[in-house]
Amino acid sequence: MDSFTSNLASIDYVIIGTYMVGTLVIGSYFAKYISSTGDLLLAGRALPFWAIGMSIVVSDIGAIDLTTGAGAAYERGIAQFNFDWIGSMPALLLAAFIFVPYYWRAGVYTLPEFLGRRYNGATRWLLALVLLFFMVANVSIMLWLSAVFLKEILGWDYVYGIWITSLIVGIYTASGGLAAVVMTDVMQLVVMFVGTGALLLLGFWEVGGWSGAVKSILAQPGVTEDYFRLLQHHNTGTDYPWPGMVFSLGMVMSTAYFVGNQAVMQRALGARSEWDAKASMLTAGLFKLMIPVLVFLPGLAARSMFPHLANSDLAIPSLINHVLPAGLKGLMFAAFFAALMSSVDSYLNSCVTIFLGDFYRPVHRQVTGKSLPDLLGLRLGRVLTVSVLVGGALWAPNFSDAETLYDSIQTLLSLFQGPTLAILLLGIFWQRTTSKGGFAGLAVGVLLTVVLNILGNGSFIGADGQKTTVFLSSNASYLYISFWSFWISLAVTAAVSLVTRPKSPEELRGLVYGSVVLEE
Amino acid sequence: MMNRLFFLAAALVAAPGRWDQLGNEIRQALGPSVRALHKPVDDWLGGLPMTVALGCAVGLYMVAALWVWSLRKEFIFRGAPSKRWWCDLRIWATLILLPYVSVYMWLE
Repeated sequence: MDSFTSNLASIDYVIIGTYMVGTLVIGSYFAKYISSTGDLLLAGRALPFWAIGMSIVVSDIGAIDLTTGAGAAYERGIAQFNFDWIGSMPALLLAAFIFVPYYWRAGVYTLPEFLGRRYNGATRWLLALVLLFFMVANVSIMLWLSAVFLKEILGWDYVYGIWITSLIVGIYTASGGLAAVVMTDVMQLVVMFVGTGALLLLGFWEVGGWSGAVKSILAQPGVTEDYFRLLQHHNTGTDYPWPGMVFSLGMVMSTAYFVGNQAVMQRALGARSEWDAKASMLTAGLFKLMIPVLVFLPGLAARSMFPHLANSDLAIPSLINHVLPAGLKGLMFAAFFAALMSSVDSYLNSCVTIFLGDFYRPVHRQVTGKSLPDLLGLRLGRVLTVSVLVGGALWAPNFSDAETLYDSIQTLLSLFQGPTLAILLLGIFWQRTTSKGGFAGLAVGVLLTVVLNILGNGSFIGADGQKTTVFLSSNASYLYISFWSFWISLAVTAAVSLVTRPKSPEELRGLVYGSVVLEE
Repeated sequence: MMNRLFFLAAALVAAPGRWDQLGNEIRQALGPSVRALHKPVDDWLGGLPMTVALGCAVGLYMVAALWVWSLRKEFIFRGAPSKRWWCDLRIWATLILLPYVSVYMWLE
């Protein structure tokens, strides 16, 4: 990124400024439609499928993905593409036709709320707490990264950059709520696709197209045909062995990510109809198809042009400086900033929804014996948005080692993805699953992933006296951790359920498979 | 018991280096047996031909498509703006799955 700064022209700064002001204006425009808590947190359930689908995709692609995703493709080849191909579409189908209809018909605001109804309050609060911590940390990290970008591009001080980003995102998220978040995301996806599309076309033009890139990369020492294989052998020391990609990423991690992620599900709950909610997931699947092509593939053009980069994460900055003309560089920066802002606004809005829905609302009902008044909920939601943002901004400078912390967030994700999916699936498909079984499965699963993370991310002395690791590739240990934690949580939930008392069919109406899909 | 836990937590917070020590001890205590459990799985997966890998990946998409077509029409169209074929989400799903399957077939 260092080399960005010196090569920007006036037109680039104009584009960057226009983008920032445009985001603020579009986001703030939706404030006039907000008159209740439902409007703020679920956009009054009026969002069209295409906007939700686009919003899900752009929120999922952070600025780190733009650099490290392409950097990983530069280093390891096209196996990186699996993360957005096999790691999205099967899961999005399950989300569209199983989970979204459940959440939609249950009329819930949050995922923990759904689990609270299916299981009990303890399960609800345990998951809400984990999600809340994960999302506040994400807001802080993204704010820190925004500050790093602004420092590199405009030379602003880090603290100044954090507060400017917070101000822009805070104004439109607090005033326009989910509608503003989704509609600015739509604009941000367009900016991101135009920027990365230009980089892809000009990059491959430079290296003689796809065949030119393949030829020059294969001519490099140490590169084999495997570099151009999506599925890589299990025992070749690759970071992405195919069983991890298909069974763990394709079946467990991605499903858990899409159906257990408040930021994703909240958008679907804001749809104008159940059909729109389902269609939004399929639309996300369509756009996901393009992500590896637009975001990761430029990494291969960079590999062809600059085979000896000291750090693979420099692939995209090097390509930008080499192939993009003035104007498009500014647009590319806007694309980076768009990716950052869309992540901040999404997690911010979801944080407030969980805090309000899973903690404040139940406590208010417990203390006063009444439901939370709508206007009070709206005001509180806005105050909470600003509070979370201020807290996140104050916390952000502590994340100065952003790349390592991003890995930590991925590890944190692996802590609850497997167990959450296990109790969601059993809760929906097996009426016999009990409240105690669900809580035991979640608690044991989270504890197990902590232990597996400790075991998997380091070596020990084996029986033969040599250093070894638990999993074949320590870099990909999270693939196995999610897989095993899912199955063990499933087993624990089932075992505890069999020895405890289940809820009656009346209590489970609308919460289990037979009463939603089969009974129309 | 609670006192002991409190002092252990306080000691870990006060001296971050002890986290690494704790991690090493857990690895040394549990690592060999967990590795012994995982190794047969590693060996078995390592012996499978890559056609199995392709079959599993493409199979995952195909099973997903077949499952979508097994869903009831009323469920698919619930809340749809129209009952015409272009609102049939099973067709959407199939059309979106096709390029996914194609790239796996082509790139393998």
